[in-house]
Amino acid sequence: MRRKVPGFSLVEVLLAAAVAALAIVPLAGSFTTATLGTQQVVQTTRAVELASSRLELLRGRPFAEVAALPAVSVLPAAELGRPCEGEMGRVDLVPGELVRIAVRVRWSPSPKLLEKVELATFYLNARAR
Amino acid sequence: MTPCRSRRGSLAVLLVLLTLLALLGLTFLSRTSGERQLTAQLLAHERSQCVAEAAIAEAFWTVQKTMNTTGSAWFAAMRQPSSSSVPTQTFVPARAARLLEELAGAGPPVPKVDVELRFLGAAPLAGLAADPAEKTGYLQASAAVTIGSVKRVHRLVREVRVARTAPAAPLDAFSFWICAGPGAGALRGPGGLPGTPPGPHDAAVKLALEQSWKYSWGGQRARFPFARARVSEYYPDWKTFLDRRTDASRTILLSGVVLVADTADATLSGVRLAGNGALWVTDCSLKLAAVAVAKGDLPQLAVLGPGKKLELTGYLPGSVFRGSLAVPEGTLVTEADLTIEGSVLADRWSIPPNTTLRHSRAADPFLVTLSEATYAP
Repeated sequence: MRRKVPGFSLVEVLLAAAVAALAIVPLAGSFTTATLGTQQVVQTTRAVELASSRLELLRGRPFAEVAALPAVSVLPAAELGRPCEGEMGRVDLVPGELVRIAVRVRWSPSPKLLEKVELATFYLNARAR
Repeated sequence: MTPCRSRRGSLAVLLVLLTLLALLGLTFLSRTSGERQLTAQLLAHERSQCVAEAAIAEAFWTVQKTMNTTGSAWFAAMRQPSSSSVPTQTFVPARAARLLEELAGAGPPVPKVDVELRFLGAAPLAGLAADPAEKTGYLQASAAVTIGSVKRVHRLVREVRVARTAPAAPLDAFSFWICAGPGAGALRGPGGLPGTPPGPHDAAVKLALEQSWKYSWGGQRARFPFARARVSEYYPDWKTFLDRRTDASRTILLSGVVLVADTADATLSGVRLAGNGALWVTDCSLKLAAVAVAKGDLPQLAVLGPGKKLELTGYLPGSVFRGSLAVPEGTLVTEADLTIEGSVLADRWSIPPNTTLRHSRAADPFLVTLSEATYAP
């Protein structure tokens, strides 16, 4: 006579594993998504800070210096960090009186995706008439 | 333990684990979502701040451009010695609005930006050369950037100084400068104006005024009694001056104090000066080629620019030039055998042979050389 041993049958184990897998796979996906999202957030925050600090640097400068900036200049890679590239652009809205300075920072979180942050403001020649 | 209880217990453990995992996943997702929202807010804040600064810069620029236009909101406010009311104007800055659309998208909902400027605390500008209408004050700017249901308001206050930049009539031109100070930032301007004690921004002040009104505060060395209140007529260039002041007989009538602000050197040739008025030249050299002076008149000629020349040439030996000559920061050039009847004030003058000076009036100073008077061989 066969003695009944306490435990799970193979079917039960397989069923439990299937249920666990069904629950864990999306959860693992959510972890991945959350991690990528966090990285994206960190990168965006960094790009905003970079662009903002670039404009901040110009705020204390005389207008003549701001107006003499090149129309487009590439921001130094060392400042941006490896995944980013950026540039600063100047447009004379009213020559000698009002210029627009824009800072763009771009990065690729994945080969098919290109993210960018752009900030821009105007600088006034306070002595222009 | 019965098999049944064991199965139930294991199932419970499994469910608890799954629930914990699910909660953990949700926590991560919600944290990421929160971070995203915060980053989006940071970006929106920075954008709106940039746009607000741009809008305020544009509004200040608009005031600078329109304050000398009759009927503009600031026309009267900028001309009153002081004001009990608070001039206020609301702007919809077109360029800043376009910038906002570029940065935040065109909508819907349509983003918009508005600026309100208020001129507060107007007080007369102190100082020797101050005009009663010149003043200090504060421009308070509020820029409201609205994107969807979110409205962000940025405010700033800038000390400004309002100065007359041309004689009273007919130009009646004023301008304002934004003073430097903590956080002056993009709107930083010269730190002072004529009549104010020299400060760290003195060079910027001089630079600011150099274009059209260099001698508002008495010249670089304050060697000439220049008072802008004395200027009765202002000409931006020689052509206008000659067109309006020369009559059919090629006589230039000098009455009052006439100022020419042209930067191009000029030669007056074959004309006659009449009247006892003054001709002040601020930014160029002047050559008088055989210019005669009407009998009994005593014109005053002043070349005020540093390093500029006042030159009398083309006179026959023994000629007499009646008039006062002033070159307080430049060089006087005259010819040999010339008699000058009047006074001379010059920084440098290499006096040619047989030069004669004589009083026109006993009370007048005769000759003042400020740096160098040499006798030419």
